[in-house]
Amino acid sequence: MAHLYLLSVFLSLLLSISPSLSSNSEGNALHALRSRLVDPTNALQSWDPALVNPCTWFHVVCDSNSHVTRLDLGNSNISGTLGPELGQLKHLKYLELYRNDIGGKIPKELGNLKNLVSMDMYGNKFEGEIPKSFAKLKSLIFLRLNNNKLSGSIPRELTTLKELKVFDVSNNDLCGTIPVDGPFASFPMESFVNNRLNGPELKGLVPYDFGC
Amino acid sequence: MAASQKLYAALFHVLLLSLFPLKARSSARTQAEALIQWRDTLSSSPPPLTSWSRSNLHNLCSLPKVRHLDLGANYLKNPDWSKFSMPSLEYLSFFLNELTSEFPAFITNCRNLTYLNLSINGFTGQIPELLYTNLGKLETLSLSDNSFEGPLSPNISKLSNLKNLSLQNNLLSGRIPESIGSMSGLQIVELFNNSFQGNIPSSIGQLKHLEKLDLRMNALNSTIPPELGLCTNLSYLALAVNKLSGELPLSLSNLSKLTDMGLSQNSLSGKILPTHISNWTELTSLQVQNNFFSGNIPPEIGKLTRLQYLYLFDNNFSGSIPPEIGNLKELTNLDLSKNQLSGPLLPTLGDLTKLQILNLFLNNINGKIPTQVGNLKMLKTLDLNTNQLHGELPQTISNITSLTAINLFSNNFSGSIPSDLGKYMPSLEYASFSNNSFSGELPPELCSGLRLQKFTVNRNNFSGSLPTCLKKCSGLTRVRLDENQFTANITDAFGVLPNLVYVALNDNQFIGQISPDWGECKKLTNLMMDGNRISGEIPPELAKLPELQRLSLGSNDLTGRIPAALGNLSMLFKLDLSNNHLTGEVPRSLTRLKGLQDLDLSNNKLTGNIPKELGSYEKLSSLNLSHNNFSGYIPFELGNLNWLQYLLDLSRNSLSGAIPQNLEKLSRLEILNVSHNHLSGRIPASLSSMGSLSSYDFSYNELTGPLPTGGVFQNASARYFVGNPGLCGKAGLSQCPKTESSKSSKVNKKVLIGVVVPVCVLLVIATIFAVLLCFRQTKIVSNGESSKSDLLDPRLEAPTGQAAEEVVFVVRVALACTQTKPEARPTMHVVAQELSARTQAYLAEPLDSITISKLRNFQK
Repeated sequence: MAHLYLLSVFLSLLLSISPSLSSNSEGNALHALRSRLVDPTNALQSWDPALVNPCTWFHVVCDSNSHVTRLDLGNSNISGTLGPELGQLKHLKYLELYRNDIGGKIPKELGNLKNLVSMDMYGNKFEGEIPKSFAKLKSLIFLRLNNNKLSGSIPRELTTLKELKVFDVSNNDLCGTIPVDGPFASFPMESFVNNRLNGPELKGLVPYDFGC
Repeated sequence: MAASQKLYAALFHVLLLSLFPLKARSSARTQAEALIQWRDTLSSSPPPLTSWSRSNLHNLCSLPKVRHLDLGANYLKNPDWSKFSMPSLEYLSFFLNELTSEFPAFITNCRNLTYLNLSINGFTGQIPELLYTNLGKLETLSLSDNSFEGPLSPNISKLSNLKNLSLQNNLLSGRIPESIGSMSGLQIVELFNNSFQGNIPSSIGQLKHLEKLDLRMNALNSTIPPELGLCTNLSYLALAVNKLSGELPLSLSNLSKLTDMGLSQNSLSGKILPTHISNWTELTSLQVQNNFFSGNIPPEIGKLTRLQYLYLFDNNFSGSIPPEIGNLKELTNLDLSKNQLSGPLLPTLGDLTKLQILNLFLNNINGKIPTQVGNLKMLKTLDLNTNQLHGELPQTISNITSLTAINLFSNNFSGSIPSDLGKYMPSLEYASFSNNSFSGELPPELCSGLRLQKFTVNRNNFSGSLPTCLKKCSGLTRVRLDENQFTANITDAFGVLPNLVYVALNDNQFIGQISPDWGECKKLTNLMMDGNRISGEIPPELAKLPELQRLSLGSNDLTGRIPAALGNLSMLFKLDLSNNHLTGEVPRSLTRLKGLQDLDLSNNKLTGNIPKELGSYEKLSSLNLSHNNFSGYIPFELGNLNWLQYLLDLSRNSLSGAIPQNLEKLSRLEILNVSHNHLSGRIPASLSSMGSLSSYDFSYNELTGPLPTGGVFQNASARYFVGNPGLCGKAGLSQCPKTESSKSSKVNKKVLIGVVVPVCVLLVIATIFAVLLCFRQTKIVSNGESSKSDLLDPRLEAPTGQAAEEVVFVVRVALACTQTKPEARPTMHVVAQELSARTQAYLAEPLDSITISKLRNFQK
């Protein structure tokens, strides 16, 4: 054993650090994601960082320019947390992480995903607040955060998301009032049930974070 | 441990100890006798190792006049140090044992020590101050490879005779004391792999005799002090893997004896100037990778003629590679990758005849590969990926017989690859030519070394056949031939490749058949052959691939049935058999693929019903059955595909019956296409609540009645409903006869529904209720065997078709109204809606097998 140790010391004496094959920021971001996740069913086994780009990884879809546009990890038995690096997937349209066991906070950097059409994080253990930065997701149509442990109020900034068609935050621990402006005018009440929400906001009467 | 090893170890110690009298410069007779006596007790019966080290070592404890004690490379465990007393020791080594105590206190009383080596043990705790104050004669202090922690005391400078300080691979923290500069005799300072923070003390510049300074792998966050340039005897300078920033001090140019310079993985910036390096003519290794250095690579680099390692990768170097680099005749490793280097590759590169690794990937290098590259006879790795190189590969590249890896992907290369490439490369393991404009055939002997592991040529214009050696390369793990013009017959091109994990042959013009041998490639996770002209049947042997996750055979000329065995592919998440000529029914076994997310069987000649079992998929997000000859009803079970998201396409079949209301549960579905079928009845009003639907198509069916309003149908364009003569309501469709635009008629309808329907329902309930209470297992019609009474008058002819559906529907609604719990009953509003929409009309099973109890599950 001691001699093995000697060998390792000898190796560490070598100055050289061999370079990795490629530098692909989206692949690196996904690889960083993988390192945060626990993956008992090996859904991410094909995520080999040595490959030129992540486009041949399973559950990753790219466009013709090798940019990641879809991440399909719903129902994948993964746990762990998300990190800021996900915000580097600038071309992402579908972020599908629903029905897993992922916890921790939703990184505010997800607000950088300018092309995102759908963010499905429902059925996890996310906690903390809904990031205000989501107001930057101008292409967002589907935002499903239901069945998590999210707290705080619904950011008023989300009322500026003109394309938003589906918004579901039911079964969380949200508080305050429900926005009524913009797309929120048409969301059904089922999208808000089982929270500590105080009903639709009455403009000028009650602060939106009333009861938080 | 084996007994023989123990014996060997014990004998070794005896030998070692027998040398003691010789090593000790003035051994007292009494002590020698004591040692001999001890040796004798050992040699008579070698005791077990642990007892030897724990108990017998104590015999050695008190040797007041021994000067030289070397117990290095043994298996000593923690003795009782308190019994130790050897005040005359001048040389002490416990190097490489299994000692895990704190620093042995007795050592600090060995005031004559000049050499102390405790390295490679498990010592813990702090280094005692007494060491510095008492052991002033020390010339060598090596405590490396232990778990010593805490800061390094400024009192270390009291070791004024120290020449060699080795504290690497410990847990030491805090700053490197400035006082180290007063230890003027220091020649070697090794502090790497600790947690030292702060700055590199500028006082180090006072160490005129310093030859080796190794501060790697700490958390030092200063700049490099210019004073370091005063250490003119320095030959080995290693500052890699810290947080150093700033530019290289010009004074470093004075270090003319440098042989090794390592600054990698810091945040250093600025230029490397000609003046920096001109004097470093002794340098054999220059490693500044993973920093932010910028500017040109100075031509003066050509003066460093002893260089063996030149690592400049992952910086911001720009400009072209200076031709003077060709002077570095000793160079074995040249890595300039991940910079912004431009300009061409110069012929002088061919002068680096000892080169083993040439990495220039991820730059903007343009031009052609010079023919002189063929002179690099020792080259093992040639990686030029992701540049702007163009033109044909030089024929000479085939002469590099030592190559194990050639990566040329993502450039603008064209022409064909030299036809003898690989013929003289017996060690070739990795070859990538992907993402270029190569054409012609692959070299027939490319893989003749049979060592190939990864072979990727995707996205080129390669044509013709494949190297026949591929099928013999049993080490292959990854093969990508996709997006080329290959016309080969693939039937026998691959054979059994037991290590193959990923293969993509899609988007070529391959012909032939899918070999059953694929079923023996047991590690295969990805098999993509779509977009070719492959014919024949799908071999059921594919089902023997336990790891297969993606199977794409679409857009070929496959015939025959879908093998039922494919249901065994338990890892499959994507199955694409679209655009073939497959016939027969969908095997029910496919519903065993529980992990399936994407199923595409579109554009075949599949017949029969859509299996209702498809509704049991638990992860399906996309389902495409369009362009087939499916008949029968749309199974309402499809509404159970909770996670269906991207697509449900049933268009262009021969489906009949109503659109199941159950589809409303597909609340996440974005695209729904049921066009070009024979669907009848109304479009269920409830579908308007499918909030995610962004695209739908109901055109060319036999749908009737008014379009639902509201929700997703609010701004519906007529073209998604055309071809349904019975549909009415929206602009572009015919006007509904009963719901004229006048408000009064709407009111009338509401009144009608509000009054007439409840009355009807109540009547139905009244007639059925009593019967139900008595006969809960009652069947609706007699099947000729049941002795129980039937609900319908047996004298009447049993209803069929739509009449049967409506009977079942009415009974179902009526039963719902008879629930004992009031809250379980549907509201009148719901009943009215159901009766007016009549979209529940579907039969999951034959009428004569439906029991009342089965119909008692109406949910609303």
